[in-house]
Amino acid sequence: MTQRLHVDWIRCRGRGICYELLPELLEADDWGYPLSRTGEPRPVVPARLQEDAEDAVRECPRMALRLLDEQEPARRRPVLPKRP
Amino acid sequence: MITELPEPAVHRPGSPCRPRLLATLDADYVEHTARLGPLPVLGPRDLVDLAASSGLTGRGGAAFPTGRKLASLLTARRTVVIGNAAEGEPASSKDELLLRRAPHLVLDGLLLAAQALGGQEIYLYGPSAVLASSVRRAVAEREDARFVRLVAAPDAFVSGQDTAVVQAVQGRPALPRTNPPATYVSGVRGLPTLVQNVETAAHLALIARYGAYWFRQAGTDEEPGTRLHTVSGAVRHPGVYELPGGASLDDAVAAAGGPAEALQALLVGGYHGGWVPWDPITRALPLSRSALRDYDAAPGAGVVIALPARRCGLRAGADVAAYLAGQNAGQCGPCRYGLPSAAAVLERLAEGRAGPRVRTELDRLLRMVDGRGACSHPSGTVRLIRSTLRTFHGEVDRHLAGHCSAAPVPGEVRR
Amino acid sequence: MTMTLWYLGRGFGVSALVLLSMVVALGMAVRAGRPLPGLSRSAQQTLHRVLSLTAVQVVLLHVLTLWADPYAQLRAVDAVVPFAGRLHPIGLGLGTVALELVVALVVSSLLRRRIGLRLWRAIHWLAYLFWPLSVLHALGTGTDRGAPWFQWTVAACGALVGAALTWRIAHRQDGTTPPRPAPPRELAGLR
Repeated sequence: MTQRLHVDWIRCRGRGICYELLPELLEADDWGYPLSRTGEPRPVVPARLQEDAEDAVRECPRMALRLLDEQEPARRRPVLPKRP
Repeated sequence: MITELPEPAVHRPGSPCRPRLLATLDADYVEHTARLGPLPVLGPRDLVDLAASSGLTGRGGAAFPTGRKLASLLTARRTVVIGNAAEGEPASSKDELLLRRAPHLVLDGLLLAAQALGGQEIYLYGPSAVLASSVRRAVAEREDARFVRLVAAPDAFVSGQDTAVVQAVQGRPALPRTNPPATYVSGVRGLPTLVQNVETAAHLALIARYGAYWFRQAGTDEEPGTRLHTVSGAVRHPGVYELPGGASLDDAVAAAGGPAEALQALLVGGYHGGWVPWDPITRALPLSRSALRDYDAAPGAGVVIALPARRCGLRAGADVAAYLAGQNAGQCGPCRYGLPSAAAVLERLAEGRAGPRVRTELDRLLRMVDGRGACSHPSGTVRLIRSTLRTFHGEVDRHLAGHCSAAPVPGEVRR
Repeated sequence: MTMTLWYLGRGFGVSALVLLSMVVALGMAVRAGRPLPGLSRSAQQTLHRVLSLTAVQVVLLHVLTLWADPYAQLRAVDAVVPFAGRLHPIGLGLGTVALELVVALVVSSLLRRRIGLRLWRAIHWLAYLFWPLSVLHALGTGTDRGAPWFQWTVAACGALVGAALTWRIAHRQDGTTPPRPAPPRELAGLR
């Protein structure tokens, strides 16, 4: 199932951890906010980046990232804490 | 019993049609029910089918099919209904007109939806002055509207956005919230909420009485029914006019008394719309989504602003962009920083102070802002700026060469 | 045996203070607009988290060893109820409060996703209260408080946190909203 990375722009403060962890998908814009490299505001997360994307979601200090299933965009997919 | 409203003939675009929404202006409740007949009580499925077969689309700007919108609320046990007359768009006054002079139509539409969807919470959200006067009077005149709660809307561009409406109705600042979840899933206090533009509600009030077929006798297949247009700018009689769907740009300007002077372009769809050049071919374009797509415009909330030929199109675009940039809600970084940056670059171009790489710079900034925010404000502003550059591309070249078509003296750029 | 426990208890305490000072300093650095030179933001954040978990374990060891040591006269209740201790009641009481705060900080962070952003942030602000209390506790109950090595250690912790605070304030991510121009008058003919 296709997964997309969704940014809650109201929560996001451009702390910049997500684009450090997902450099293939995200880069910093002029003001420090995550900019999708694919051209779509909600980039598709390829399978090989799935784990990195989950890291980014978990590490965001503002909990501003979500992974949305393409089919059910209204439901959020839970990302549970990983064992360190 | 009903003698006034239904029309016998099909109205093709270009020919005037009798007013429908504007037919019962300034009527009190007694006169309103006498002329239109009583408000029918419709079950949920009936209302949805009626809305769907009429082809009515939202008149608040997004033009979402009303039947589908209502259908999405069928499964809800309790629904909150909000009539949205916030009209954040400065160049639009149709919703205010409806509230001021035809509030009973609006109330009818909201009550219809509430009855059908099982909603007992009804709000009417709009400018405080008109709510306090004519709406309050209208509510007092009728027994069935006593549940309707009036909520004042702040005079800001984003205050009409549906998640902002839901916030405001709960007493919070009228700022957009993140979507998903959509308001029809989770709105006021988490309940499924219908946020309906008041013009759409008014149309529903008439469709419920006269039927979907009647509605479709005006307008075209693509844009059935009538819609209210606020025509302003360089026209003889700026105002709100009711036109059949698919009426041409020329019809809209003609309804407002025709051009007051030579026109250059029309801004169609409001400040988030697009500029359509005014020439013999484009004037005849119908106000429909498909026809206006090339200009990134749409009928939207019916706003048409006429730009005279003597004014500089870039200057006009830069002014609108500056306004929109200032109207950001301050919640989302790309919008808050990106819009003022882009507007500043456009301003430099309008003043003739921009370097040769301004198009690339602007394009880069616009791509950085487009689609990045909790609501459609950044995208709408990007659309307006891109349209300005596209429609007035000749002007862009002139400004880069240090001239301006609106300047009396060559080499001088007039503000 | 008891002397060992006593030394261990104090040792764990001093180690905890040093670790916690590093945690607090890192926590402020993570929040600043610029990352610390040489360390990526995500690394800083991970380090902050790992060190905090380590530090809290050292704090627990500090409490447990002192509780096991009869000389310290620590009762179980002193870990929860402040200012009721036998030895150095005030200094100890500050430690009790600090202990409760650090537990709240760590537990709330582990359950961050469940309690939501706002509640988590509200609790995390207590870190600014927690650190001074730890220092006061160290100075108030620390048997070594007269010793130069101890004083230098506390001073170093203070310098570290002070430097981090300066960095944090100097690199504030600022939020100025641009002024709002009025709608263009000529264009919006009706309003």
